[in-house]
Order: sequence, then C-alpha cells, then structure tokens
Amino acid sequence: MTSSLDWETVRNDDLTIRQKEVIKSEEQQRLLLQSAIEQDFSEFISFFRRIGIEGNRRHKPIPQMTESEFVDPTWTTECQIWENYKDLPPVMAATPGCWTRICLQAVEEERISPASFARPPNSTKDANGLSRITAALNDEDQKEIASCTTRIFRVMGGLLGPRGYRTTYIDCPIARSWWRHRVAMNAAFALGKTENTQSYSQVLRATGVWEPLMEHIVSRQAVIGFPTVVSALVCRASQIAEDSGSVGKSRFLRVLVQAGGRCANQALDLLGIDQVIGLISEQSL
Amino acid sequence: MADWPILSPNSLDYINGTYETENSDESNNSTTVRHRLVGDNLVRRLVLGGQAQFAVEVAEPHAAFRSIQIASEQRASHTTQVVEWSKIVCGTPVSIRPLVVFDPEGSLQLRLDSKKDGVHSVWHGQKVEIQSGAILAHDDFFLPASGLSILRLAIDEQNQIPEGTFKVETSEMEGFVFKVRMHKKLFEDMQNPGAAIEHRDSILTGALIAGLSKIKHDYTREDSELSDWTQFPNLRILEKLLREKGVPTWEDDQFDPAYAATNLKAVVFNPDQSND
Repeated sequence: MTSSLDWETVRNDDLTIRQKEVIKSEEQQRLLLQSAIEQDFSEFISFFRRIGIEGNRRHKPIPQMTESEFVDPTWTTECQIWENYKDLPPVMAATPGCWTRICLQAVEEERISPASFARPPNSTKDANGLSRITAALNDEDQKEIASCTTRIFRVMGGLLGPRGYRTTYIDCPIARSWWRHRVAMNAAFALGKTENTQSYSQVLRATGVWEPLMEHIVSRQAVIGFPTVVSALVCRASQIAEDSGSVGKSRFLRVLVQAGGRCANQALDLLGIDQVIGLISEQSL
Repeated sequence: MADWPILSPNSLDYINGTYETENSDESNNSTTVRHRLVGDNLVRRLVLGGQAQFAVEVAEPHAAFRSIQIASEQRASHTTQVVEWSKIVCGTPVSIRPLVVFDPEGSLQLRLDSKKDGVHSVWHGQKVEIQSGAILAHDDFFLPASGLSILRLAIDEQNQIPEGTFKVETSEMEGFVFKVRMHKKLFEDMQNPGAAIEHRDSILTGALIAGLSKIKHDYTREDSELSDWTQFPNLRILEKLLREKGVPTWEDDQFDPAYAATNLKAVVFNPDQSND
C-alpha cells in the first residue's frame, strides 16, 4: 500500500551534507561540472544517486520544455507542473530533496541536460548552461565554477545552508511554479473567484512580490504564514497591480511588514478573508 | 505595541495575574497543552464571560504552515487542549504557542481600570478598543517535544559505525536538529536504558557538545557559503535559551560548546550508585 509520503526523494540530510562538501572543495566542483557537460550523463546521475534516494513511488516526468522555459515556466507549463505533482504533500514539496529527485529523474529520462541547471536567469540564447560551464572550466575561473555549482544545486531543488528554507520556494523554478500555483489557487478559492488563479499567479510571478512573500512566510521569525493572511496579501498585491500597473518591491515589503505587525497582535486567521483584506488595505494605503 | 494590554512572560502590561501553560502527552502528530489563568484580571474575566478563548498557534514555517486551533473546552480559568497536526501538511510542527484570543466576531471598547482589570498603571484610565481576534495573552513558542528535542537519535542503517560509537550530524530539516547516528545496539540501549538512565543522559550531553561545536564551525564563519543559523527556528530558540542563562553562544568569542551543553543538560554523576 502506498502513502502520500512515499514519493521518491533524494535524502535531504545527506543531500545537504554532500552539497556542503562540494562547496568546500574546488576539485569536487570541477568534477561535478565536468560530469554535467559530458555527452553521457551517467556520472552526473551517479553523483546524486550515491547520496541516496528514499521512497518507492516514482514521479511523473516533468513536462517537455526548453532550457529557458525550465528556468522560468510559462503559465501553461505551470499548470502542467501543478497537474503532474498536485498529489505531493506540502511537507515534501517544501524540501530540496523532493525536487532534486524530480530534476534528476528528468535527466535520467533525457528530458533535460544537467548543464541546463547552470543557466543564469535572464540569459540570452547564446549564454546557455552548457556554454557557461564550458567557459568557466576552460578559463579555470574559480569564482564562476563555484557560482555554476551552487546554481545547479539551487535550481535542482535548493541549497539549504546559505539560503535557508526559502531556497526551494525561490531558487528551484519547478518548485517555485508549484508553490506559486498553490498560493494563487488558494487565494482564488478563499475569495470565491477561482477564475482569478491565473491573474494571481501573474502577480506572484514578480520577484518583488514572490521572494519577499516567501521569505516572510518561511525564513524569518514572521507570523504571516496563516492561509487567510497569505490569500489576503495576494489579493492586496493584485489590487496594487491593478491600480498602479505593477507592484514595486519596496511597496509590497511595506505591506508585508505592516501585515506582520498586525498578525503579531491579532489572530487574523480566525477572521473572514474580506475583513483581513480590509485590515491590510487600510494599513497599506 | 498593541492597542490593548497583553498578558505574556515578556510584557509588563499586567500587574495582577499570570498565564501559565504546560505541555505533555506528545506523539509525532499531537500534544496536550494545559492553559491556566491565575489571578483576577481582564483576560480571565473575558474568558469566563465567553468573550475570549484559549487557543494555540501551530507553526511549521519551513513547510509554509501556520494555523490557530481553538480549545474545545472554554469559559473556565483553565482548560486542557489536545493539539493535533497533519504529518502530510506540516510534518512535525517546529513550534506551538499557547494563546488567549478575543472573539473573532466581536470587538470591545472599554476604559481600563488598573485595580479592576489588573493592568499596569500606565494603562489606567485609557480607553482601548479590543479588536476581533485580538491576542490578549500568549506564552512563548515551545517545541512540541520534551527536553532536548534538538537531538534526534537514529540507527546507522548502513552499518558503517562500529559498536559503541556514534556520529553527530546537523540536519537542517524540521527546524534544525542534531542527528545522532548510532550503532544499532547503542541506539537500542539508549531507548531502553534501564537503571543506566544517567549514563544515557551523559551520552546525550556529549552529543549536544558535538552538535554545538558544529554550529560554531559551520554556521558562524563570516563570508561563509554555509552560514546564517538565524534561518533555523530551533537554533533561534536554543540561542535564546543560552542567552537567558547568561551562557556565551556560538556568536560570542567566549563560546565553549562543553560549557553551553552542560548548562542545557547538566551531567549527573553519582559514584555511589555506580558502585552498586
């Protein structure tokens, strides 16, 4: 009998230990990057398999997508990602090991090359992951080698140590899409406007909204992670975007700080969503 | 500062009365919290009158989970609440905070009276509006596991560790724990120590020393790719605990892992019993 916690995952603790070992060793970084650009991905796959995989339920393959789309999935791909992995328990979807396994499986199934994980964000077609790693190794540019290595870990699922718990939600594009879809869907549902899921997801796509929101929920000693409060914040961000065309990071940060202050003294999660939106809007005018 | 007085260990708003809590009967998806309001004050009066309720906040920020659960038994100066959580949604909650919250559907305007309401004189005569869902009292967050819950004992499943030995590793999951990987026999003996309970505790203190050394080594170096211990709720709680005891933490030059660990879990040495 299978349980919802039986999905395959790279062992989280061992993954963190291994990531740290590699980050500390220039030699190991070079070996990992070399394995990522080989024609044959077997050494790259072995690197992660040796860490250890738990669970016995294989994940569905990731949707077919280009390297640039992988780094920043479109709305359509986001929906496919959600559809594929909607049965993942949130407690697993919050961990680097779970998404690292999904990305590793994508490499095993030859849906994506390992070098793609090193692609820098907002890069041009010419500056893909393969060219970036090749240049770093050829130039023996240690700073760039380290940067490619950490980027691979982050994009595949997250790098806990230096990044904290926000890493999976922010650094791994597939996980970020999954969580963004979930947050947008919950907000749309809470407000009784399920047709708004896409527009909420669009608002959350802005790094000035998503990153501070998730940092305040998972990484800091903040108190805004209550479902009603998060949904109200999504709605507020959407209102600001409608009124001003976009949501500036500093403005949204002010909304978050003020909402956090109110949460510290008031159990907003017990109130109705409209009331919470009213309180947050009133404060963040 | 809130717009109304709050009864809590870190607040001077109330001069009369305390809010006391305890937890027990823990399993991996539940715990029991006992709430008790001692002394006569506004909070107690509102609870007895049914306008405020005992509750707990359950948080696992790592899994983006936070919720408030209201106790089923109310309208008394004390109650016992069984708190449950889903292992699927939040795994093991990192922290639980007992609360007294005001009616989510009402609000109350009143002029505070120091004597009648038990508040500090700075509040006396002040007109306040207690808003819906206002937190009227709270205790500190606690970890839903007794004692040194930051230690997680585990069997060395790969049989790489010789009999009588253990290794301490840091695990950044579950809010940060020290995973003490032990040889199978040692692990079993630790679970059932019989009369050797003090011996078991000394082993745990030893494991704690090793864990604290790792924090100093891996999480506090400047410019390190591996730093930032403040991300982890359990380390924040541990650091606060040491500061309250006046013991240097890993942020201080005088930090001594053995001194810190033995302050958290003092070694009990009883030679007379050992000779029995």
